[in-house]
Amino acid sequence: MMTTERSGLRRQLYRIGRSAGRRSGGGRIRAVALLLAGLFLTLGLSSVVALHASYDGIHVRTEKRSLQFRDAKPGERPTLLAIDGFDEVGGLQHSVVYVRPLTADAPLPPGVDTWPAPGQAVLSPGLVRALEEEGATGRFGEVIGRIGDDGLASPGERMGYVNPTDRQAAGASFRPAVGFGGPRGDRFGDVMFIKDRGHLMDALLLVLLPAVALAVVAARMGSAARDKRTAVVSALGGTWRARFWLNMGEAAPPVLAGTVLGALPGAAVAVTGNVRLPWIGYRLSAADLRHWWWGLLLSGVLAAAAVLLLVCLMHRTGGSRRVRSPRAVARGHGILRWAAVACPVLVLATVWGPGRLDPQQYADLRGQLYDTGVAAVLVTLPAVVALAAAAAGQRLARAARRTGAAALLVAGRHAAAHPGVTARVVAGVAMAMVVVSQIQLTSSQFGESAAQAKATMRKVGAGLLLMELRPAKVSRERLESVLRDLPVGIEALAARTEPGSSEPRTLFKGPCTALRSVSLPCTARPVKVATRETDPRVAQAVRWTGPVADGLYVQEGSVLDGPTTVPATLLLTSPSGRELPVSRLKQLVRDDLPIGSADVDVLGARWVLGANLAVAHGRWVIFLGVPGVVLLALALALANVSEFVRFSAVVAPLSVLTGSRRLYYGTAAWSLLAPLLAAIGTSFLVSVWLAAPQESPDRGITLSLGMLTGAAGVLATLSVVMWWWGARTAVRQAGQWRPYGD
Amino acid sequence: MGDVGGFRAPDGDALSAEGLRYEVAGRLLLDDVDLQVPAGRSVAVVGPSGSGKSTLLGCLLGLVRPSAGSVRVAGKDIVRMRRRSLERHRSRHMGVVFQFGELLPELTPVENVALAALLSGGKPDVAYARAARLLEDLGVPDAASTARLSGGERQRTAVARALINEPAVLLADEPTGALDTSTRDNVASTLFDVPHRWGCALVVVTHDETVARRADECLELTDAKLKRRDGGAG
Repeated sequence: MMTTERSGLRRQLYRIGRSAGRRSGGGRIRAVALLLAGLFLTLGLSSVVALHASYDGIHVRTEKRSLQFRDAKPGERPTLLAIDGFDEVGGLQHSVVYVRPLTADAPLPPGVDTWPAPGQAVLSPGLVRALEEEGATGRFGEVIGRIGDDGLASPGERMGYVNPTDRQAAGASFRPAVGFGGPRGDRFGDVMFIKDRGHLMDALLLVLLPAVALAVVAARMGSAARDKRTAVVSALGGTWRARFWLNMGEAAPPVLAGTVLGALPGAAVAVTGNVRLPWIGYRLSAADLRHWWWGLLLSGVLAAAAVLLLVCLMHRTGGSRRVRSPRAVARGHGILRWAAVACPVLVLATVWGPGRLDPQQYADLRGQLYDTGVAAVLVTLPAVVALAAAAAGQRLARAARRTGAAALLVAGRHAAAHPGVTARVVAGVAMAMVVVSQIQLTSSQFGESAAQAKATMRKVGAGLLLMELRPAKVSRERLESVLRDLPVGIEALAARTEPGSSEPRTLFKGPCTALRSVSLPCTARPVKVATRETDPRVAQAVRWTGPVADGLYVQEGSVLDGPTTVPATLLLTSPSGRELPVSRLKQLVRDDLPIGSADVDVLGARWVLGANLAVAHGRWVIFLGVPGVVLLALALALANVSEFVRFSAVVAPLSVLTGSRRLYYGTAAWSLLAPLLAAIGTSFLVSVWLAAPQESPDRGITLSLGMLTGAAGVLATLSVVMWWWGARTAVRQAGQWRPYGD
Repeated sequence: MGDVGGFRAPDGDALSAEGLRYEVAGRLLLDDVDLQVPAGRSVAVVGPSGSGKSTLLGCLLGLVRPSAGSVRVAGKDIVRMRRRSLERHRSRHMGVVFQFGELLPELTPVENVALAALLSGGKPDVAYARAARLLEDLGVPDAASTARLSGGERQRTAVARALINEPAVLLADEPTGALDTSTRDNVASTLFDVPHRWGCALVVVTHDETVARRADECLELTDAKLKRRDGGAG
């Protein structure tokens, strides 16, 4: 009997909460905010699940295909020869496993149906696509099949099993292997190039934290009426259980709807198939997600529970409402004024200050000062916009006296009286712009060597190529054959470091045509050349090949004539100074020389490959960070709409009685949209200024104005939506107003 | 006629409600209610809580649509009007004073009063000048913001705002409900002086017997009927 009564009471309280939520001012905005909070938190937690599912899948499949070399299993019969090698396409490295089965029954790697014959390859779909994009489909010979998903670390992995031609195999360092799969095997593929899951987990916080912020904002939205309701329930003897059911009635439906929507993308991928993440290009494995289906389910449950818990915890139970005294308000205005004055000073100090310190001696201090400066600017920037809005507000109100624009009068006076409110309104977008620019800057940084390599690549480009050889693996005959096959008009110079003399020196040796192609003297005896006065290509080549930048000697002669017949380095040039065909020369080296014995590329390319990988990793930070920042801005924008609706309730009686609904659109334009757009413009400029000392094109650090403009566009669109929504909600709320004072 | 501008004095009753009927959730709140208030006269409506006073006020303002009957304001039936026409008519011919004033605290008293005229499409210089004169007439001092005024001054500012568009009918909903006794008397005097000074009809909905007694006519809403009751000033 007692239980039935209790459940009846619960139902009753639930219903009261639900209808109170619908009727309360800004109830719909709160419902949308709660829905979005549930959605994004579920999406964030699903992403955490997807991250673990993907990494687990990658490690499991990588282990299942790991090469079992006979060295580790001396008792077993070798069934194939293998080399786990690398290649590069689209500026990014990938694994290539060169295999030569020894027996007809040699075990196949996972995802492969038949062994490729010599000169044939089985490649992953990702690698095939990348080769097609580069127009190099025949790079590894005839492609006879694709590796299935079960043989790939991830569906988008770029990897291949290549059975080399006999010419490529001759002299290559093959090692006997007994098969694939098992612990302690040789791992290859994506696992060599991806960052550990901790790094990505950190990046995911960029989405999770704003989602929590949104949940907090949604929980506190329209709190005045709810706090009052809760106080009444408490005063009537209602316990926390009663308050819980009231809160559930109001918040549970939108939160649950949000979590269902948030769980849909993960569930859809798990059910339908692999999906390519937009912009980042990573392919998410449906099988991995299916394996972690319980995690996806749990993320929805956890997100709903977390938002509802916040809703229950983050409301006052009466008696604790803060009353702001006039003195406190004045103090708040004083702080804002100080912050507004400090902001430009901080911008100048951040832009110029750290640069005054010696970068060698105070590298860390420079970084710390800069970061502190950026943080301080972030905090004070909204105050500038708020005080500017307050000053403009006074003028607008005075102008309204002349023009009779009621919206100007109301918004102007409001902005002048409450700069703190304006600061809150604009804080989100102002911070979002600066944070987006800083995320983009830090994610585009290369290492120092890669930066120099980039600079060299820009200066030299493909006008001079570097061929690096392993003399122990390349015979004189094989190299002669390569030199013979060089396209017409391409000359070769041997670059040798000669340690014999008192100081190490670099000797460039080759035929006169080759030496003259880079404006070097042609003499029978070695002659010293001042690097500073040479062709810039030569200066850079010495820098990248020799131990001393200015110790260059040149001599006419055969490239194969030296202490070791085959030099470790060859320089390829053309007398015409035109760009050399890098891809064609790479293929020539691949086809004519033993696997892994030589490589040809532009100067500094090897360093840049590592940097490109770092950039690819950095893209994840942008991929997750930018939506995170937009989410944060959305949270604050929703809070703004809620604040506007509360403010506009004061105008409701007047607007209803005079039938003026345009007042809300005008007031919202001046008190929401205009400050938001001003904040976007100001923070755009401040972001550009703050980026200036960090920018260094040689180190790959440049502020992407395109991205910043894009972010500004998104935030401006969001501001327009908030303006329209705020005004519309206020109009609707005003329509419900009735003059029932008591 | 009053001291400010030329208020409209329509022929016959400024406000005339006939046969009003309103029912909600099976409960009859208004049953064949009649109310006539000529220009220059005041009527107080009293009644216990929940008797339907606010519903009656809503009907008179056109915010609540009765199931039967008519409400004529300045000669036109507002019950049959479309929303836009109703809003225009209300803005032109009706003024309202609320229990809590409902003023914008950041605006000066003059701006608060002028705002109602501006929203009704009035010219700014005329609106501000008229607002200043009204406030002076009602004894409201100039202030940097309405928040700095006393409760009585705020309520008199609300009266000025209700009068700025020279309404034919002034409605007041518990206008003294939030005031102490001395302030209440002061505001009530100001309010009941309005029909004589500005020539409009005044309807005051109140709990307060003392306030109600100042009206020319006192009506009581009880059992969904509006009945005349002794004790009015006139």
